[in-house]
Amino acid sequence: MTMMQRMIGWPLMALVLASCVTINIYFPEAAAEEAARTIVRDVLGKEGESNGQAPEQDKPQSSVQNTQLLLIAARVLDALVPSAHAAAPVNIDISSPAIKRLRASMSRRQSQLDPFYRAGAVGFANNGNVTIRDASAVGLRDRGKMKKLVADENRDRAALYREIARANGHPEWEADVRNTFARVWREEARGGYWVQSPQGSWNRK
Amino acid sequence: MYRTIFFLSLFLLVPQSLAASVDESSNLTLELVVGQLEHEQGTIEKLQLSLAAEDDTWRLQARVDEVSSPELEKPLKDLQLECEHVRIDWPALACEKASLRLADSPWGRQEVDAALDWRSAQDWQLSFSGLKYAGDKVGGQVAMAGETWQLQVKAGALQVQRIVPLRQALRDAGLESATGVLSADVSAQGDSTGVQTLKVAGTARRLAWSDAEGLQAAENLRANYAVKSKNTDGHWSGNLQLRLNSGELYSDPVFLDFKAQPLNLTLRGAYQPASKRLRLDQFSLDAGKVMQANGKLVLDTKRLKLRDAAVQLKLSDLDKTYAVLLQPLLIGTGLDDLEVLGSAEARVALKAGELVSADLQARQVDMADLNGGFAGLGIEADVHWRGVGESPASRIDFENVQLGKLDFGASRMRFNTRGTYFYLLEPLVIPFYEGRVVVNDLTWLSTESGPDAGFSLLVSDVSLQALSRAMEWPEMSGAIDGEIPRARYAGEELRVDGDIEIRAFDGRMLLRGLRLQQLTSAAPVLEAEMELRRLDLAKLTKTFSFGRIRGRLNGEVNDLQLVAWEPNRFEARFYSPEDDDLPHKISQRAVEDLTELGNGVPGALASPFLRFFEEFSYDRVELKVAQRGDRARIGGIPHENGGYYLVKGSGIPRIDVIGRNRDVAWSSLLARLKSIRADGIAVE
Repeated sequence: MTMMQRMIGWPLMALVLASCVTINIYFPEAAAEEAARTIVRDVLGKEGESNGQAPEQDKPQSSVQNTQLLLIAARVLDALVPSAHAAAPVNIDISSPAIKRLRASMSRRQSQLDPFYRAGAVGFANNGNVTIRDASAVGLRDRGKMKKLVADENRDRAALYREIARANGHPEWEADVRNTFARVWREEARGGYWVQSPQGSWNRK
Repeated sequence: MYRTIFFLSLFLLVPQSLAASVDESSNLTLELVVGQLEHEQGTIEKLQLSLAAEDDTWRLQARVDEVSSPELEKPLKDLQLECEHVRIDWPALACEKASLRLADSPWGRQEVDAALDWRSAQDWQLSFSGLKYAGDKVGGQVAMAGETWQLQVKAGALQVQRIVPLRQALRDAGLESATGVLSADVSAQGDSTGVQTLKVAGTARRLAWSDAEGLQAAENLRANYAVKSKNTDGHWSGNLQLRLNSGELYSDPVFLDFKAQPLNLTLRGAYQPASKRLRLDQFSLDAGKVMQANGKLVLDTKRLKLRDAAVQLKLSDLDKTYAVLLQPLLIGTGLDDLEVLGSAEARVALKAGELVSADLQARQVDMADLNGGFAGLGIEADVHWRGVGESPASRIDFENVQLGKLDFGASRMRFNTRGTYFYLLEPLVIPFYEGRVVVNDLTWLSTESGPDAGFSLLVSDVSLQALSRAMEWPEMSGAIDGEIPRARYAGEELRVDGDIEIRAFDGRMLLRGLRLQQLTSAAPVLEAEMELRRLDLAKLTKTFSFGRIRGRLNGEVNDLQLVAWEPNRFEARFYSPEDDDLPHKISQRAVEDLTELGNGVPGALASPFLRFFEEFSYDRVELKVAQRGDRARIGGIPHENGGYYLVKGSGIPRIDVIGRNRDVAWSSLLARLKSIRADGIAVE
């Protein structure tokens, strides 16, 4: 090996090894989805359980694809570099007191939000939040109340996504948790609710 | 519209410059036919005029195929004018009953009854009725006296959506679907230069509108209005009175129900077209107890912006003001679920679009967060703010403030404001559980990303007994003293420098590195470190219904994180200090409790021999707990056989409590601790 090859080769090797270690800490999509489904069904109540049987036909979101690609890359690198750690099975813990408190708060709010969801005034947005999509679907008197419920719900949802990431020791997963939830909210939405596709269009379930 | 009628009357009734052909029979008949007539104000196509003498009157018939004018949105088609009895006393001319028919016009098909009394071009009067406009039949009168003309129009039920200029203005404001019924009594006066005075009064009924998003909407509004205005050399001045007494309005995020609370608005002012400014010398808005406002304003109508203002606000019932105006504006903040009582007055001044001063007086205000977060009672405030220079001193006095379960006593805060900055003029002394909290320094800076606040404080002689009772903790004795040399709140995070010393259990505890994040969220995060020095274990164990241990205890709690006020992670070590001056004794029950804590199995002291002794001597105690989520790792003094001592005994009989389990579920450890506190252990 020439000096030049060494100079280029070692950093490259180091980079490959470092990459292996980084890739192994992947976002556990399947476990997160299971956790999200448990929470979403709990919040939406019983009717949600029967609605969530048919997963939507949309193609997986790009972040999911990226995760899978990274996973494949990690496995290839695992095979090539024996020292790389195998990816350990990961469960998503949703039992922390903060998460329990947020779930309870969202469950209590659900019955108040339900009429607004059904009227099409509020829908499940593709960013994991709820949003006012048609204020004119409810009377003028209720619009302020609706606005407050939406603000409170989004505050809880943001805190929930953050807490799930933190409780599982990976605050950097927050965006992935949010994406997973966005999909699960959409899938588990009750009949009559309005949901926003990843492309941005609104459909009634 | 009056101009068009005026223009028509000129064309049809004063044909001064037309050539005529006359046929004569037994009665005199004049007939005039014009193929086309052009004037700078418009064109007339095919005019046929017939004037027949009948006894002492004339019969007039006129027909025009089309009248077009740049002023008309579309031409008048097939215009027919008839008057059975025209009295002519040249140059005077009068028709008491004329009919005008139009097959088409900007106002559709028309059949108008009219009467004309013409004495000269400077002295005539035209009245009309049945003019179809905006779904209504409009009547009125136009009169000329010298150089001055007068117009009066009465409409009983104009449909808002069919009043073209109004519909256009509403569309420009984004309100596509506006409906309603308007009555109007219009009276105008002017000369050849234009309108000089204009008065409009009437009612609006069933008024409704909405923008596409439903954020600006009204339903079933009912209003009375009156406008009086005067034109002086192109400057308009006048006044407006508006009373909204029924219906609902939603202007995001505020909802107003005018039936519950009518609203009166009175404006007096002038419009300056050159500078495009509306100057309101007096404006008064009366929404009863919700708000009363009056003052002066200058509006920039080009930019639709408030330029200058001097406004006084009277809020005589803050409960109503909060419910109607403030709560909607505070949605999404921690202040959107309050109960507020009391009254307030405020004065606000703006110059060139900038706020230059604001003064607030609040009297007997009680406010409470309905979620139990905080409350303030008996608040009296005089707050002053100036945009430039030093503001007059401000004060806020309060009888009581509650933060969560904490209760602060009566205090007076003296402070000053400068720009977006706020600072204390004298230390704020707050009674707090038999001691006091002295805030020496408190600053508040409003920034675009939220408040940036800092404070330093001293805590002295706070009774731990009173505090623990208030917090519903096991009752502890002792006192809290401490100093926070600097704390900063910015970006939803409170960071505290310095140590808070708690003197309790004959020793001291130090709380340091306190950090609170996401305070207003459902899951606030607290991070801190704690140091325990020379606590008297006898007092400590007595407080916590634990079996009795004598001796002293040191401890450190590092990397403590509470999420939603529950432990999320920490690393703690509690141990006997090296230079302990107290005897080391542990009771049977304490041994049981510790054993249970370590193993989860009660009844360790089953031996009748050991049960004979009330307490045992020990060399050292040590407990290490590292918690992370639901996992906790327990340890103590290393034991050669792989376990760990929680209690290393000494003397005879010697008792060692040796733990074997290192990893336990935090929830079950907590449950064990709770069961010890609740039930104790009965050693048999």
